[in-house]
Amino acid sequence: MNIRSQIAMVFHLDKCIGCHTCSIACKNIWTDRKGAEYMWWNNVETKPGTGYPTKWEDQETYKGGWEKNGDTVSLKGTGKFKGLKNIFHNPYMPVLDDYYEPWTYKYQDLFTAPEGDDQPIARPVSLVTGEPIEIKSGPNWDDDLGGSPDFARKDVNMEKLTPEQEAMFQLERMTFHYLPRICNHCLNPACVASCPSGALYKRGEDGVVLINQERCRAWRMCVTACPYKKSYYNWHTGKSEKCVLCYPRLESGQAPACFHSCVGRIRYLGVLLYDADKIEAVASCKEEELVDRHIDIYVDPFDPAVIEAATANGIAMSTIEAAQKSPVYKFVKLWKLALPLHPEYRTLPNLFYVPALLPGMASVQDGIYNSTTKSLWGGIDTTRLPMKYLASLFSAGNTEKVADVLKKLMAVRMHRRGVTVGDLKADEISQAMKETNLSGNTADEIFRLTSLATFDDRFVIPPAHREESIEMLENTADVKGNTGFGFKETPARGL
Amino acid sequence: MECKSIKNVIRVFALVVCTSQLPLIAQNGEATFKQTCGACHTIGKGKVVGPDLMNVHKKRKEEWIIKFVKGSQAFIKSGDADAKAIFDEFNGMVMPDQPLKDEDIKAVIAYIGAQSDGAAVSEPVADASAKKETPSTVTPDQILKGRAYFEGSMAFSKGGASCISCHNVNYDGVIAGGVLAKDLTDSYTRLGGEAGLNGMLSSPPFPAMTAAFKNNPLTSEEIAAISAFLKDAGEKKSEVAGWNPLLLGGFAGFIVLFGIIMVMWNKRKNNSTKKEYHERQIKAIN
Repeated sequence: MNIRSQIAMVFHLDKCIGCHTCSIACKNIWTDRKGAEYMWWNNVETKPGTGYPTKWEDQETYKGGWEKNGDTVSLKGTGKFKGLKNIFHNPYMPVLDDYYEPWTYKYQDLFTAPEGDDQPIARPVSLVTGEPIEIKSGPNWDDDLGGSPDFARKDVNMEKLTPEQEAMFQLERMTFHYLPRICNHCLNPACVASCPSGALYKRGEDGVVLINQERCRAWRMCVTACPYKKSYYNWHTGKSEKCVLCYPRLESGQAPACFHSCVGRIRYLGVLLYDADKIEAVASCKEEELVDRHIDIYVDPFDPAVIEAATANGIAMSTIEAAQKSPVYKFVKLWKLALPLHPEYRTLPNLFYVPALLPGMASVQDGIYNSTTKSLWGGIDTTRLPMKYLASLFSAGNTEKVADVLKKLMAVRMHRRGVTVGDLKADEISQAMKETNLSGNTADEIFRLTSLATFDDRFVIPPAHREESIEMLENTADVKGNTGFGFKETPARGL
Repeated sequence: MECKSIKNVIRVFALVVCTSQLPLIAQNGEATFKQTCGACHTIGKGKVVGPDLMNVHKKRKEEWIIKFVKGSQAFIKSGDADAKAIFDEFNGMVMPDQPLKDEDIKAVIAYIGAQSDGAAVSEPVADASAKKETPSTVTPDQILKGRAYFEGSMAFSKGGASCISCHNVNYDGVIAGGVLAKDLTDSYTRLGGEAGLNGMLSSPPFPAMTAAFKNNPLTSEEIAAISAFLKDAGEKKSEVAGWNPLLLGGFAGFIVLFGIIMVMWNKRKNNSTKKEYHERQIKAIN
């Protein structure tokens, strides 16, 4: 057993209201610099939709992620030979048009325009060239366009479900949900594996994946390799950049900006302990087993054997305690409510999603909108988004996995309805609870962590122990008696 | 009466002065001709670079000659048919403008007149015949030496600047030269062969070159070497001008290489993923 600690995340999609506050918080802190304007380390997509960059899920185009290769995995788009072949021209890399050309408006013109017959306007100008541009698309151009032919129909996940698909585009049956995305800080990161310069690394103490800006040589193999397209090339600095999970904030005990600012409180963050020896075997397992084996790689932080192995690996007791309190552990491991996004990319992402429990389908009969259902909410088998679609997103096509989660969410909802309103039949509730193996207490806990969780319940951040990291790099006794304030201007008095 | 005799005295005096001046003028004319004109022109020895000037004083008016010498191009542009005819006859080779005073030109004309009329074989003619005798056959050794002089790997004995500082010549292994003056690759034929080059180099008629080689002229041996080298350069160039298998082979290889790349990267992503709906948007706008 090779126990390591990882900061992992859960996004509860039922709670996401699509306000993009997370994206703006991130942008204002990290990516409003020159060359980074087009990057959205955090973005919120509308699903079904093509996302950002457009069709990022289409790995036949972008060649991101891993593919199974016998008992192991190999990179789909880069790697030793493929990387060398494309080292000076990598045709699978997204171009600026696949993202969008960033722009701003000449607001000053509104104030400085000379008096005239026409209303002054603020023209859009490109943030790349500085020239006026015709805006063709933006980072979130398909926002809320869940039924559109240009975006929803071109969703890569739609390809697998032709007959069911048509029902989704009928009037009154269109639907969408939001999908906020950040870097998954994967256990088996394709970006790290692809870098010819060795500039990317996974931080030992918390598993945050970072790009060393001094070693980056702009090969951009990480941009291709990341199947989630969360590594970006800064054209101004000539270095690639990615989400840093606000590690300076984590180190000082604060939640990352996108987590902290989340209006719907959909985000949870905490430590998971995992067994690093299993990574290769899990990443290269059969596609149907991927989700289960991925979740199995995380270990029980209460198990004495795990605690012993973790301590032997240098994990601080405070981190283990944080792992025991981790909300992510509860969602992913205990309750099995959260699923990884596109596990078939085999990067073992550490960001999990609680899928949205979508409303049942309505219909139009004789011009009357009919949304009545047999029971209060309708069954999960009548959800608007086909189960196959959700399975394509969260379980590599395994509909059972998604159905299990949705059944649990429904059971919790029915249980709470029974507690607070009491208008549902008791046997109906107990049937739902039995089917999903939930006890009343667990259901209450799920409800509490979903709806009533405080800041500290949602974000359990382990102390960073930076002092230990510094002591590993340098001997603090060397500077004893030598450091202090110093002067900018030498004082005229004294010796 | 008295008055008349004084006038006569003055006339006689003037005549004496004039005649005593005559040989002096002729002498100046000779020097100027050798230094300035002799490079391209002969008197009675045939066309070299420019026309033979024998009897030019009879063919043209003095003013005409002065105008042409001082600024042939401007003169041609002013619409003089004779000047244009001469310019065309010599394949549009521009005669450099000569910064000479009118008296000097007149002196040269007088000298040419004397030479045309007189039978005496004078120096420049002797010179011209001497030049004809110099290398009639070009040895490889001379070409090599000429190349060395041209490139500057061998210095001129009197310290003149090497040719490459202002001129370029297309020759295997010779680096690209200066662009201040004309390309000399085909200068051998252009400047009238050996005789022309010899003349040009022994007393350069171009203002910049005149100034550069005024105090450090080239020796006849150096001139011979350079003209041999330039002759070789001209000949080699005309050889190259034909079919070049290396160039054609390179071009074919380039096409083949592109073919391989096309096949190898056939399945590449060659469009933006947004292309389709960008195009539809534009269609919708229009």
